[in-house]
Amino acid sequence: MSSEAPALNDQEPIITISGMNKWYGNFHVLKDINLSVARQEKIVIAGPSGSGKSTLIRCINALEEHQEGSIVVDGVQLTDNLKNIEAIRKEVGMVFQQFNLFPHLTVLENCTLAPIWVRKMPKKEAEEIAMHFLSKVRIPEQASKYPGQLSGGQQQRVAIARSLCMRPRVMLFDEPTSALDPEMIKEVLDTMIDLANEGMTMLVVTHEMGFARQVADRVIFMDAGEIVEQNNPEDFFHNPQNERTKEFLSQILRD
Amino acid sequence: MADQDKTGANFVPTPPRDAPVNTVGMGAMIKKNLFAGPVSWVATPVLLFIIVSVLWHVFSWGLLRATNHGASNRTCHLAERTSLLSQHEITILMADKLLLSKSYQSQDQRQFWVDSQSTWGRFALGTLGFGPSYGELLTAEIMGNREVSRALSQRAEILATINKDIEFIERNPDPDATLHPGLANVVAGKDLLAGREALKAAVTAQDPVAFEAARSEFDDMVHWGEAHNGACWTVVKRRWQQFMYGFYPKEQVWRVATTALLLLLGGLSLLWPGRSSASRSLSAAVVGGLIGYTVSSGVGLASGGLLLALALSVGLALLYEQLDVGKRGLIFFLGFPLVAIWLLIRFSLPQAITLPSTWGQWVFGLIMMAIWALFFWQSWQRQTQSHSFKPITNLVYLAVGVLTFYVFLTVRVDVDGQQLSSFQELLGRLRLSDVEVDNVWGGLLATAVTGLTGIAVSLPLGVILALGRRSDLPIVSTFSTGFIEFVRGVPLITILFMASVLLPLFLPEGVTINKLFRALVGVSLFASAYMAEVIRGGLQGLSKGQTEGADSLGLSYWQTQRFIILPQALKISIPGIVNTFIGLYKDTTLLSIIGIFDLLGVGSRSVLPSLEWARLEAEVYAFIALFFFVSCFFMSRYSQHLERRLATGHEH
Ligand SMILES: Nc1ncnc2c1ncn2[C@@H]1O[C@H](COP(=O)(O)OP(=O)(O)O)[C@@H](O)[C@H]1O
Ligand SMILES: [Mg+2]
Repeated sequence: MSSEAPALNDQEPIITISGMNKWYGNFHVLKDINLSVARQEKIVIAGPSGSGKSTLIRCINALEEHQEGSIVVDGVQLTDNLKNIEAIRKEVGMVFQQFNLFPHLTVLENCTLAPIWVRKMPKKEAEEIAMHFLSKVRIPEQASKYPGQLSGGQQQRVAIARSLCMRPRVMLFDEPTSALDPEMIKEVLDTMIDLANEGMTMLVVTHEMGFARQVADRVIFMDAGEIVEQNNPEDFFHNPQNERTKEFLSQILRD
Repeated sequence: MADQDKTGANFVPTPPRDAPVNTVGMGAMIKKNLFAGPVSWVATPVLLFIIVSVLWHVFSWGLLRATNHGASNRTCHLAERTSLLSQHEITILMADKLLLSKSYQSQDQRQFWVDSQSTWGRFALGTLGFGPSYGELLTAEIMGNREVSRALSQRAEILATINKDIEFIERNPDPDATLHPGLANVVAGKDLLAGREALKAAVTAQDPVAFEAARSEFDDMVHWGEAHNGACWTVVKRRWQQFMYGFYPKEQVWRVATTALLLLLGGLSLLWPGRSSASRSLSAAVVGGLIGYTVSSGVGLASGGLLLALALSVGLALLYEQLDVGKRGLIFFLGFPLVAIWLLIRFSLPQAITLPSTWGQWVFGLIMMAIWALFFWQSWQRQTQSHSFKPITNLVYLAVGVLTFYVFLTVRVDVDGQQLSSFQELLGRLRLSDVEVDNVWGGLLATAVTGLTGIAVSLPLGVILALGRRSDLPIVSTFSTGFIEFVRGVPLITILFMASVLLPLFLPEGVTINKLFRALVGVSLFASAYMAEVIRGGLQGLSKGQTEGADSLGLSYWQTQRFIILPQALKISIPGIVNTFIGLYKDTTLLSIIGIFDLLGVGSRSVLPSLEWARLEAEVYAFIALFFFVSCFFMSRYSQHLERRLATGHEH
């Protein structure tokens, strides 16, 4: 499903983060982040562990609150107004490292819960949409199973389908393949590539550099809570500017 | 076999082998679990022996030798006494045997054996049971023996007590007006005093034949006594009503029974889903029928009214069972408490509902028909949608509809010479008196009301307190924490006293709340605090990812709690929740301390102190203990069943 006609001008970025700072208590996690994401853009965020990648994307759908600066998603300013937060969460899907599926609900129920209760969709329609997206991630036959009965790769694909059922305009991925056995990484990445080819706006925290090369419009390198460098994948991998970036790349691309 | 190397060749998995024979099967299981080492070689037989002998004694006392006839403890007393007669027979027999034995000669030896008869000698000889008849044994020597003469005189005393018991039983006839046949034989057959005289005479005359004849007169009585000298369940049977309802007016007891049946109807359909629809309909129809019958016989409806009540109750029960589980739950949890209060305390219909005119009857009848039609239409829709035609359901619907229509509009009954429609009769009969709660409700009624209210209130309140304690809002979390810690830190009995003494002080002048209600509040609040902590444990067992997953989908706080967090947290907490339920249920016995006659209170403060049932502590407490055990065991089993049913693959 390609994303529907945007409500605002196509040229307007779908996410605008400006001058954003975040602290955990006294610990300054995110420092002066400025980032704008165009519609249908695919961004890969890389960086060493603890650099604030997760925190950054979690601020976008208000799983974490920021203390300074502004975040605007699809024309909605993210404040601590619950209405705005709910409005933004409806439009922003998120896939977690640990899947975070609901183990007491079947795969189908995992997918239909939010459309029924948040989008107020009739159950029948929600189920049709869920089956559509479960087919897209290639596991329609697992619809009546419980997450605990599926493999990790299958669970992560269910998680992707579950987010897609809300018809989000933006998808956030926080290391979606880090908890998977090597055999299963590919099936999840393939699903994400399909999604990218259909024009979804995606922000992906990952260390899968092959994926970054193939899909990303832009790669962002973060360290110590700051965006150190950003570039298209070609230049990012072959011609990094910053010493810190070079060091990082030499470490993860050793082989 | 040489070292295997599968490189190069195609990999072929080795076929699995069976486990070694001596590690599987019954024999291995017994060896491994019961006779693993020297300790278990000793412990297993010893424990088995203890278990078997305890069980045997309980079984023999509580079932084999139990009595439940008669009108008071006298019957059981009689059984005990008469069975003692045979014990003395053994004493006599044994002394006889010893004295006649050729194995010892001297007076000293003889004395030794006689003295030791109360220990192992008694055991050995008594149980072996060999012995010549009285006739042979009654020699002058025996009659001179002081053991024997003591036994004889004790026997005479026992006979005197028996006589008194029998006289008492004759003076206070059985409420059933007929004595149990065995007991009747005992009471009617023997002139005890004459029998006693005959025995005495035979002894004095040293006439073995006469003694044997006099003694065998009592055989039937002794046999009856031996067969009935166990538990005296007469007390439970005769005071059953009190154990169940306390002092609820006898002629109104059907109201309690109806409430219990309604509870059963709701309980069966909510707690035991997943049965075939035929079985569900059947149980609903049966319980519905029982409800109709209980109400009718309670208010004295007959013919048309009975038919109407039966049709209505079976029909409504079936319609209720047709609803989906959410609606059934809603109706039950909102409707049942109201209906129960109405039934148990205040049953009088408001004046406004009285519609004695014919058109009122038509209006009411048509409303009933409309409701019926709505249900039928819904069911029909479901059937056509799922393409599964249910002939029995449809038949039942039609039958209920026609019957309702027929009974409402046509049947006339004769009430005190007046021709009334059955509808008018029903309304007229349902005008009942109010029942006081304090000092009237008691027994199982009080226990169950407290227990069930406590359970029904403490679960939701516990959930709210648990969520409150984890809330981000400081006021909410401080309040919840404070409440939980305070209530948990105070003994229940203090809370009950506070509820019964302090609560009235806060009420405006002239307003009174009944004692039971105050206790209910106390028990419910107390259980809620425990419940909150159990549920909080469950909440903490969930990973943060669950909330984040729900948040990221845009679910609101309450939606997240309702659909994601609570179902899982409650499921994890089932053992703890049921544990709290069981504790709460048993704690209801404390009500007797603040003057409410709950099940235990009826036993200890009403039944046992009465002269009729004195000295039956064992039976009364065993009955109460058994009752609590059975209900708690049921709860525990049900919770395990629930855990299994809710298991969804392996969870992480
Ligand atoms: N809830 C929290 N409270 C305090 N510190 C946190 C919290 N979450 C993350 N941090 C810290 O913030 C920093 C950035 O974390 P994170 O965004 O998870 O990094 P990344 O995803 O890049 O590995 C880390 O140093 C981490 O220890
Ligand atoms: Mg991270």
